[in-house]
Amino acid sequence: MTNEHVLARLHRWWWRGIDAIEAHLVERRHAANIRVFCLGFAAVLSVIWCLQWLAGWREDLNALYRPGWWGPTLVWQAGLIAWLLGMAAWGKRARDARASHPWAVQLALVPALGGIVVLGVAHGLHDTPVPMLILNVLVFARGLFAWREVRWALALSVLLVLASEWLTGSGHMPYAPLLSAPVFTGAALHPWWALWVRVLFVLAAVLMSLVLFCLAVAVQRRRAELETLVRTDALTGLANRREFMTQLEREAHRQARSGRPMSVVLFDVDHFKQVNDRWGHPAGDEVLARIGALLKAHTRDQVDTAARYGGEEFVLLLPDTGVNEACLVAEKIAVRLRQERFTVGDQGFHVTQSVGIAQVVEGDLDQALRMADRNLYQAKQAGRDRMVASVAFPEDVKRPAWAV
Amino acid sequence: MRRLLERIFEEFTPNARVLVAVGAATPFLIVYFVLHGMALRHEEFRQGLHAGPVVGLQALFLLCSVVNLGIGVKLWPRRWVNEPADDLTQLACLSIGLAYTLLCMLSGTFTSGTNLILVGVLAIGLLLFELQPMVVAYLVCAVLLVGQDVAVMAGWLPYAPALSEGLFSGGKPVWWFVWWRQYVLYAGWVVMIGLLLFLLARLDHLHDNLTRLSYTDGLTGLANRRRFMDVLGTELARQARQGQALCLLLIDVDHFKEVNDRHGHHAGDAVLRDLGRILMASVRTPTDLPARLGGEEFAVVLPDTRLDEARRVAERLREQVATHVFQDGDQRLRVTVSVGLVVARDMNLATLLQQADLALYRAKETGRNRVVEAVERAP
Repeated sequence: MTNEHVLARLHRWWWRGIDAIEAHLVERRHAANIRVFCLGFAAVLSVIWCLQWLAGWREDLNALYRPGWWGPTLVWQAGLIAWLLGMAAWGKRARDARASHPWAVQLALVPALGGIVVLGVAHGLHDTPVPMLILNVLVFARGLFAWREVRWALALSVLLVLASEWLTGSGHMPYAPLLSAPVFTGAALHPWWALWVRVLFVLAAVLMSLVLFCLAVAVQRRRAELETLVRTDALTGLANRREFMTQLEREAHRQARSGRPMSVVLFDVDHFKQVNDRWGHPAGDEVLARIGALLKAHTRDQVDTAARYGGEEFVLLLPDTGVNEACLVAEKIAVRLRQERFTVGDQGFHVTQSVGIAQVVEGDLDQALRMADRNLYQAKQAGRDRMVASVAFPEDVKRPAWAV
Repeated sequence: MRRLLERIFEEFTPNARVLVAVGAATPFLIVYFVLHGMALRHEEFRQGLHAGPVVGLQALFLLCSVVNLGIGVKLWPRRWVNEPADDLTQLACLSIGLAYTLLCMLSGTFTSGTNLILVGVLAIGLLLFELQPMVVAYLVCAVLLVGQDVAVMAGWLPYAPALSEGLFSGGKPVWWFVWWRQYVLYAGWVVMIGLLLFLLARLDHLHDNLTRLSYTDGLTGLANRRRFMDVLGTELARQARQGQALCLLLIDVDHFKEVNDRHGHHAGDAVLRDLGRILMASVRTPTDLPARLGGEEFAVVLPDTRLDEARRVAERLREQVATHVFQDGDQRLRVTVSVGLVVARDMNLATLLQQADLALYRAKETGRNRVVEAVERAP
């Protein structure tokens, strides 16, 4: 396998993973998300449990723990893991995607967040990786569930942290009660303790970065989608009317400054009502979509704006284009449209369009749009399937329009 | 605060965001610079520090601050221009990321305080910038961190080179180190929790907007064609299962083309908006669903509704539209609608729509401004 294959595959996995995480983040199905949360947190807890269990094998390591505390802590952690796995199993069985299980969510979140905070207090909050893990669990929980479902568990963990700080500060409780050996005194770390710290820090940092990157991708995707949705017309994929107006205004300013020519081209499908009535709405939609594609193919990317102006009306905004060139563009599009054959069942039909063109003068948009509209009207009056063009001089509406 | 954050992330140009990042990070770097300088001068604090690495860090902070200020000065005139300066963005990500990474490396990577600082910087960066500069900066910093840790494990470098044993007396950290660690941990926690909750709330908000927008018509605020089709499909399936009556009204504005041509598109839009409002007011929400199918065509799905009720709804609607005076600026105009009414009895979606279309067509044929019921034909 070549390097590119590996990279492409990694890339694909990465995005598939993000898609899967996003689906859980966004869809908020209780049962499925409880399962994900419990399995993920149980995995992290298991790592801690294994490290601690390993310490029990050797006398010198066991001496790091307060005498008599090693075994019970292990059992207590195993109990928490079992509880989470049980919840995960329940989540798998409760497949009903839409049902809401508020109590089940609390039954998973409160023990999980409470448990990790107790674990953190037991190991010492100030120089261990556990605060990072607490943060991880919290983000994980908030990502999978709504804020109002997480807040009780969050409040509980904040209370536990504050209480432990007060108890240690006032001398009622030793710092890191689970450990007997001082953890970090400035002397070299015990190798096992160094391993414990490293493994958990790497775990916490990697998870946290992953979560942050996933969230950033999800937010950026949503923003991009939202932007397209707001700016484009769903059927044709062209800009919608609002976006066209924005572009028009921007280009008009530029035109007024630079003095270069700019044209507006209005298209209207001839007898579109009849197409809809006779061939059905799906055929009408097909016509509009095909015209959208035609317009897009015949305009310059990033420079021109092609938009759906309303029902069966389209509009092109052509900066740096005089009325003659605009006529050429419109003519090309009209010719191509005439050649397009639409089929419904085994019958086919053709459509044509009328075109009104106006060149903008001195950035006067309203005038140009009105002029283009009037030209379009004239094209319709003159028998359709033709175009009428003129230059929209501000004062001048009487100047003869010439038909092409 | 939340409003301000929203504004920064929604409306600021990429260049303005770089300025936000630089403006937020540099003062902290300067505060660190001053604090470290003061600590080096006091005997009590100096005992806990190794002067060499700290002075090196000071130089780095100074360098990064100067770079950041330079970026700020360079981008300030272009702050509202929507043409991102990619190289400067990358430089800002790297300089801020490196400053904090080296701070954490020198004072020990394996405490939660330093980790929270790093993760916090990452979170803020991801909120402000595009993915690419952040990935580059992240990789550079990650390589440094991993490299340092490998060197520590191999014994080539001491862990936390800037700190000395003087921080501990009798196995206990000195008061100011305890205080400092506590401060960093809790400040980091609060900031991180706030940031993450904000980030997640933003994701939810965006997602809700997306769902709402993709199911509503922009002009009238009614349901759009997609949602109409979805709902009609579900209601038809329910009708087939439970046998309750389901009615559909198809509504089309009469001579709408003329409204547009004579009074302009603006007036046409105003008419459509008003019509949307009338439709919304005349149905029993939330069971009934008024929708705009496109152009001047509207529809109402009436679940659990018998023919005579639907007829009453349709007639009332037609009358309300016919008597309503539509206004656009100082233009006043009246329009009428034609309505096709159909009762769904064990039909599929296509037949139902076709029947409704036919009824609407006959309403238009027979003179408009009326309600026509679909005649059931033997299959």
